[in-house]
Amino acid sequence: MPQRSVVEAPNPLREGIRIKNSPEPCVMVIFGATGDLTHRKLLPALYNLALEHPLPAGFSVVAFARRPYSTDEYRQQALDSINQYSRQKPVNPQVWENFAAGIHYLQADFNDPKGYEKLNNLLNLLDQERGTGGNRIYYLSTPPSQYPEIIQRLGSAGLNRSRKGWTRIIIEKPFGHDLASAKELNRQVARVFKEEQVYRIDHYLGKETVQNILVFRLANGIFEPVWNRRYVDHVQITVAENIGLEGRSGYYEESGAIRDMVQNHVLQLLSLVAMEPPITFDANSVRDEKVKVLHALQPLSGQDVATHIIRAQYGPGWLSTGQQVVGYRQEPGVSPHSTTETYLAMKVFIDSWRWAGVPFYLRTGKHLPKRVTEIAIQFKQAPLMLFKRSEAYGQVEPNVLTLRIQPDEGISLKFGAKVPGTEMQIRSVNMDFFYGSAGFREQPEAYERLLLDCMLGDSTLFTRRDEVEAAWTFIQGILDAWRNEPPEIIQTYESGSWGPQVADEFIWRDGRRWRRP
Amino acid sequence: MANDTANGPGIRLPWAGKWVRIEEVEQTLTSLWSMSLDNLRTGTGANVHVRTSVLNLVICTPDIETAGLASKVLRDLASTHLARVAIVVLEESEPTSSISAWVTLRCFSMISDLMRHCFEQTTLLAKGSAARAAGNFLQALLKPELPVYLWWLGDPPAGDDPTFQNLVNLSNRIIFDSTSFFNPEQDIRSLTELCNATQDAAISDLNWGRLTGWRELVIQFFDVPEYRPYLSGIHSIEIEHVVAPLAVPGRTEEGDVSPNPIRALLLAAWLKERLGWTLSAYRGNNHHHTASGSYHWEMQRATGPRASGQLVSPRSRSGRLGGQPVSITINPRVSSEMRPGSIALVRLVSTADNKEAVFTIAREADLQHVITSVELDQETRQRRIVSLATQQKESDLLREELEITGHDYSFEQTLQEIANLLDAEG
Repeated sequence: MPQRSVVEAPNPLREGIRIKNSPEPCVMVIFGATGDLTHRKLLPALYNLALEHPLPAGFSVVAFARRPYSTDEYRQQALDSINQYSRQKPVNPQVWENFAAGIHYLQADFNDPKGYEKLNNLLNLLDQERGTGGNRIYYLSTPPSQYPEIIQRLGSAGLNRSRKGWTRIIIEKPFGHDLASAKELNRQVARVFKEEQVYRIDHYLGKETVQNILVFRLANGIFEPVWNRRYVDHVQITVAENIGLEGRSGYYEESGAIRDMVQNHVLQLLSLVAMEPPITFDANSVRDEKVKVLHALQPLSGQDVATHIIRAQYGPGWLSTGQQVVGYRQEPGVSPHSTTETYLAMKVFIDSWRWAGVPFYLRTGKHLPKRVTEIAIQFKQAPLMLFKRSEAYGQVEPNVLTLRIQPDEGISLKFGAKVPGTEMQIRSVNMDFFYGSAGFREQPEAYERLLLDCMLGDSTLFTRRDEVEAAWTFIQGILDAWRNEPPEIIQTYESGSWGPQVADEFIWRDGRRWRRP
Repeated sequence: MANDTANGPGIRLPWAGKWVRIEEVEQTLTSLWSMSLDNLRTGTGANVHVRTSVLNLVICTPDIETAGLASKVLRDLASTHLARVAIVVLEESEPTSSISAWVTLRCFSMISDLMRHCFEQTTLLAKGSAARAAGNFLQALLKPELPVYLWWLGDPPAGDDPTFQNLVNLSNRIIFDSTSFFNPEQDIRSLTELCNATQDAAISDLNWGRLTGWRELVIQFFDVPEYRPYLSGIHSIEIEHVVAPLAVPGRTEEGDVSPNPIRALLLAAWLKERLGWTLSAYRGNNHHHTASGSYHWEMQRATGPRASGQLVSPRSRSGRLGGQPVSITINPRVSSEMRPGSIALVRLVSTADNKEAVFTIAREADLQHVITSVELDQETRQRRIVSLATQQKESDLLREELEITGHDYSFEQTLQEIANLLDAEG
């Protein structure tokens, strides 16, 4: 069961009901409320929750930011954003009127103690006027450099605890930019908030198909027995983007693909695929098992880094969208001598009884041919091929189970089948399962699911402190090796291609090939 | 022995596809799949048809016109991964017996025209004695080892009806829609009896799904800790349902039955059951007026500890409030704007710690929204407008039912409570 901070008995009317849980009334304080994330994701997600009414009456938003807006001006901006980015548009006027009545803008600097006094007063007022019962969620949607200041100020103002109700804090990734900074951030958070109050959000975990990895593995009897080194030849995890920097050159120059994608999304997928079954399906049991996978990753450092990792930068080219693009170094805001990687391919091993010796190939990049995230489990070939090579062998590919996270969410299994006819001709066919959501029934956005989970006190899909640190511990070895031996030149790949030639050679050397998702 | 009309039944059903002899259904479907795949094969030879199978859906209708309408609803159900749909038209009163079949493969684009989800649709027209054997014909047509959902369009049949029993025996879930019941009180009792008699298959009602939004809003009032104490203090429940402005009860021009109080009865019965209320021994003050659709029951709160999940007033344990009279009232609201049977108002009045609270969900002229409000000590504390349309698509309601695999015990208990309420006449 989800971890709940509320100890009182559940609402007896809910018993036997098919309807999903509805959270208690609360206030969400968004720091950085004028930023891109708030307007593109958070406000549309909250509005959709209000529209489909899991949100309780009295739910309120305090938009905390520096820019000089009035509440009315901010409400108008929020309306414009929801109309632009919500999956449900145009905005329903009546629901909006109701939702907007709960939005309040609070102008203050993040380092101004008076701002937090004003916040305290406003929260108390909302408790009285809208019945929010002392329940608060602070959402840090600011640049990460602001996190420590805001957290410390919340603590100083006594806003880290509620006399009545509960207090939680949601922290957006990145959780640090290396191991030391991640640990320091965690220490700063821990000085003010207890770990059970902290919800580190990685929106990938809110995706239906990511959650389905666990259901697929653990609710079916036939997959788990072959989910190990005896049957699995290797695993490929691909997180490909067909976009470039999208105006984030400053951030990306500092982060690169390893921090932007691998440390969080890719390692999250890896840990869900490779983890042992938890003893129960509660937040901490699941996260305990995920952390064990991260601890069991064979460290990469020194010379291993060069042999196990390919990094590259996109050059000019044509994208599959028909757009001609410049190379990374020609992008505005990027140094012409930059060695930041926009593509990363790596081979990792997990030192556990289940996975010893099984390579996990991880691949991520920008300006690749398509936006796709998938996990492919390639099984070993049949031990003895009975069919003549000329008729069958060359055509029979290994069995591959593919979990497609986005787009075209679903699961495919590739297997060999006889082609009807007098000859023993075999070819591989795909058995596909597509989620009905693809084009028919709209599923909630990842942020909707995660915000609702936080309001309900369920932290299963959020990242725990030790999980963040374990992921950074693995990544830090790579960062150190790169720092000690910076590349004289960095490989490039043509924009719109699947990466550099060396990445293909890298996997060919193991007698394998990259999938074409 | 039924005749399989050798040269066709003499009628054309364009929506049902190709007429075939019943023994040729499987073969024809295979050939349709093959033709369809040939049409869709791309240059690389990739198969882009999506064929995932989750369930069989059997739709029973009393006439061909209704069958055609049901076939249209299926357009929106492709995402539920239907494997096979059998639409069975039961014309039992026909003097001659015959069975005719049509098949079609229905494909709908999923992501692009190159990726389509398909399901197989068989339509059977069973006349005379062949109708009684519909279950037998279906046995051969269902996808093996997949659950069978039976959607019964029309009034519930008698529990011992052999045609229906045949179909029940092969079904996992039987779905009715009580909004179309012609004799609402009598038919809802029949549904309760059917539910009692049918242990293996689950019974459900699309009308229950229409109440989901209303129940959710009622529940949400008491998710708020501040209002939770008022739940056990509720002493009066008032529900209004829409009736058409007809001179005498009957069908409207749109074909709706009015008055049809079943949704109001379901809501009242659910609240009674959840609140642990019992009917008073003295029934003289109860009344119900079928022609207008108005009801009133006097009841008592539980006086001792209840089974888990039910409510006891904190003060009732001391005995001070034990047995305090409480009541449920259902009133009609005449309106030509809303469909008969729609809920127009739910009002719960409660007293706790000597304070009165009124929880209201009301629909006014706006057919897309309702207004919820809480009045505490005669002051409106919370008022909000919530999106809740009067009409929900039948396909959406059906999809929800198709996602449920087991019994919905909450619904089944509610049905029992309706029977208790209807029996408690003054």
